[in-house]
Amino acid sequence: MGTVTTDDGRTSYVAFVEVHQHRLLRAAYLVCGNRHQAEDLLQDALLKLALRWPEVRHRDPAAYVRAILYRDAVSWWRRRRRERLSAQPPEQAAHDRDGALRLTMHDALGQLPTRQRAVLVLRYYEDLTEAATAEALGVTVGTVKSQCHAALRRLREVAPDLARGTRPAPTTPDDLIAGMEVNP
Amino acid sequence: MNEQDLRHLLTITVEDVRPAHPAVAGWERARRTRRTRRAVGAVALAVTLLGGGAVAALRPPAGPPPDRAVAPTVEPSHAPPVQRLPAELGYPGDPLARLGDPATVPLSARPVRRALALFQPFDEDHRTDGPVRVLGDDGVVRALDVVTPAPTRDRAGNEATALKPGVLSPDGRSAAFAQTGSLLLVDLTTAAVRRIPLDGYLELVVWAGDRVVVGGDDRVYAVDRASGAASPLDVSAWDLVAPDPAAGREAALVEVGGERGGLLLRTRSARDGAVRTEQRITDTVLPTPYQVNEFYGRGWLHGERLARSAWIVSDVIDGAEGVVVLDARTGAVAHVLDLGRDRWKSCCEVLGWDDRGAVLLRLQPGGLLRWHPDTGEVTGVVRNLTGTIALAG
Repeated sequence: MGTVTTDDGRTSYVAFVEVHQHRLLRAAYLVCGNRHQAEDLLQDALLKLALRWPEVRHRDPAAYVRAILYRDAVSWWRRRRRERLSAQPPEQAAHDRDGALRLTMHDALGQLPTRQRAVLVLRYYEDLTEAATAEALGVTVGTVKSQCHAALRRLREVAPDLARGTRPAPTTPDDLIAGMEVNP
Repeated sequence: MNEQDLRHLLTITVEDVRPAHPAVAGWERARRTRRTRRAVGAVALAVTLLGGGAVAALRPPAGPPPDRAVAPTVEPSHAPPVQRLPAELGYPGDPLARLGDPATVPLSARPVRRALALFQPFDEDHRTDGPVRVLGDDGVVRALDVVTPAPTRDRAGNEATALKPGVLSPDGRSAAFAQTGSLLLVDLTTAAVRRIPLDGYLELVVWAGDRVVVGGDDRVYAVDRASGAASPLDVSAWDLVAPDPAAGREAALVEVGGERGGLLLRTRSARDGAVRTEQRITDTVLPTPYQVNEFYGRGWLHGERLARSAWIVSDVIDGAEGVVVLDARTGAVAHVLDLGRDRWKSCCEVLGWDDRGAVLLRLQPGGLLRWHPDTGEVTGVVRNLTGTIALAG
């Protein structure tokens, strides 16, 4: 007699979350700018995913949860709350070079509107194509392009020195780079 | 900086961010939610069957819904400041129960005498908003076919659904939709549409007597329903509380907002929005450790009582979902409905009051509830609706 399986999806759900939640939380943090808010966002998205797991598990659960996460992040009342929270000081001090960059980048991202931040994170942290980014956010590819362009321009304005921090110290004046040059 | 630099910056920005919850936490929350839904469904069915309504339960309701208040399912009792949902919700039948029914006729073919509610379903599979439905006081659900209000997008591209709590007039005769650069006014009794041009990004609507207050982050207008005349108004579109329909045109406008330790209740002149009074919101009536952290959603006045959804500190968690009723004269919190933690963020927006002093509130995941703060009674109105609801009144 074969083993009777009573799995209601829990095992596959847990396996999926174990693989994806770390990256999703980090993406949520980049969009929210606040760790508690990011935890809230992720837990909400994972609850919604669990409730729909039987239907979603055989399709593309990663795309499904990503759409929930990002659209919730830019949704109405949550957006209001995030805007106030992100005005709070950074959660921890940093003393090393990466730590300083982290704070600078955190502050720079905090000066972008949520939708622009979401586009940047989807494109350059999640490494999604413009089309996949558009699908995750429920907008057109044209909107992704324009939001990405606006986000990069804003980053240049608010953190002109950020680019230098990611590279070794220049050895000649020619190595100095002013502003950002990113191909969206 | 090139794309690789940007990727590197984003990566180091989050390199010390690690999950605080085990992977199974979401599944367990979902299990508790499913269990509650099953219990609610079973109890509702049992009530229907035991009440001799077996045929009624299987047959679509015919004719207009009863125009009466919902009978309580439990004896009223003195209610404590902090109240909770019952373990099992009863659904005693309600004119609003048809809110989830599909539209059977276009509004243009059969305008309403009075609308009870508007509903815009949300398709979870495709993550899209559906067409707006209009539930009339005759129990018939119409499709809003004379206009398709668009979602609003602010300068940054942040999107909000066109239908939000507050868009339906208290008398159920008009709907007002904020659009970028204009206000759409729909006369639901004739299906006529007017577009009133207004400058700027508009997102939120509140009916104040015969005026529509419409605005966004940086500008607010008061628009006369009859004439369409608009004038700037100095209020917060986010924190403005929907006035009691019985209050006169000159009744002060009320705002509530702020954060824990600095929650404020402010009254403003209805004419120009000038601040009249400002006072702290106090929650000393609540037992330790209960506190109100921050309000969200629209606030609603009923006489001198004000209801608005909030994130609260409960005896379980800092950040629970709740609904707060406070005295609009003093700013003193009178009651809190503790909705717990196993819900969506901003799950439970207040949608208004009924004429018997019950608060109508959204529950997500879930449907629509009535909460009587004076008795602690909570009854279900509709189950499992996914989408946005606006109620009259």
